Amino acid sequence: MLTAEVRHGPLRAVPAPAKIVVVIALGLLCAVSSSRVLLGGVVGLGAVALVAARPVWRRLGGLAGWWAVALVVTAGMQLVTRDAAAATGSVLRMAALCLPALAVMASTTPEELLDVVLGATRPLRRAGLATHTLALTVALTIRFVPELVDQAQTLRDAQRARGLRPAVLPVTVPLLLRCLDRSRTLSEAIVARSFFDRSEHP
Amino acid sequence: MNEVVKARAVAEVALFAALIVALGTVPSLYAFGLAVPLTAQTLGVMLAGAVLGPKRGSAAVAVVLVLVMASLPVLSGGRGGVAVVVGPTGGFLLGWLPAALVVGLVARRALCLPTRYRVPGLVVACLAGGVVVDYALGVPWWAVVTHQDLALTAGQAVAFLPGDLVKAVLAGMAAAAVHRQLGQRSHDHAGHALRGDGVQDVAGGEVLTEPVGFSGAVEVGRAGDQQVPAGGERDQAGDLDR
Repeated sequence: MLTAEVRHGPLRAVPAPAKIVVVIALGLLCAVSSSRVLLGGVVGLGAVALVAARPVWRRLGGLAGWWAVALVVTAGMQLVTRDAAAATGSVLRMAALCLPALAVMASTTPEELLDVVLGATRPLRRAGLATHTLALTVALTIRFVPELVDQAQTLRDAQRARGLRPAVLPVTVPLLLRCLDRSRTLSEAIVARSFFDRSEHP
Repeated sequence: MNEVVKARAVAEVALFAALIVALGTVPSLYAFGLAVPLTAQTLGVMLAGAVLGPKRGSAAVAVVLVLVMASLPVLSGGRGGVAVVVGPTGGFLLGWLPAALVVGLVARRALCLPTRYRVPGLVVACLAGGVVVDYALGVPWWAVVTHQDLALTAGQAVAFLPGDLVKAVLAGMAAAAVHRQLGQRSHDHAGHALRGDGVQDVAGGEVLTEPVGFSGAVEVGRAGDQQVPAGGERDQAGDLDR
């Protein structure tokens, strides 16, 4: 799940934390400003960055398509309810938010981004947040997604085999109960490996 | 906090975070047998709050948001990344966190109600968190990002209401069914108290006062340990469920 193709380009060499900080700063700037010059500038910068990132469109295709639909719908709503100027402003703002973020996604692997997010929580250790526990939880989540997807599919197949149409409750309730059962065995495994003893006294 | 309780918390949070992600990959769930497809991830958020409780439910959502920020395709339609968070739906996404918290808090009250009021109580919990709180964050965010009038945006958001109302009802019913099953299991096996009242591990002589979600304590201790609810209210919740 974490493997993703990222091509080498000028943006690839920029450290992931720096890219994230720039995207957040630009996002905040665009959220509070209504200057079209500024928004247009950020759109241009984002477009150049996205091209420079040499994106694998297969990876970004769905997201870029979703953004395109959101842009068209928003522009249409603004044209109907307000005027062309408002529609242009909305489209510029959304593009200014989306293009730099897409450029970061195209030039950074999920592992690097996960390191940034988990690294950002490290100062919270002083406030009592167990960052090693957070890292374990994230790792376990990634590990169990395919298993739960398989289980949901198995439950739906079982319904079909009985001639039933797939419905929400008959799939969700057993899935929840399996989750709770699995969490019991998983917690026993965590305790058996003395995870908390080792993480608190490395 | 006891090591066993901590491990149980980590496992439950991880599994429910994985469940929220997994529900996003199931495209064809149909409500009440009708041909109305539902995006089931909001359902997962409501379920996390209603089954795990406020702290663990919102922790599970926080883990999902960490994965979203790391650009993993964990949202429905294979979406993920900062681009989604800063987009029009970013407010609804970040709103999942307080939504799960509120669902858990209200559900905790709902589980103290007599049996026949539990399903409506849990549905109200899911509505309060999954609809009221989530929309309270999502709609203004949407208006700011698209630079639209707030009233107009709220009008557009009404289109999502029917689906979310159905999800809240389903989540309430599913959570009630899960709590009922857990109550029956604990009655059959060890007699643990529901609602996280804490259990007493007789063999170890140790009292676990930390609530283990709402499932209270589905077999918290080591296999073979005899456990009774703290306060000597054995099987009370299990009996209420019948």
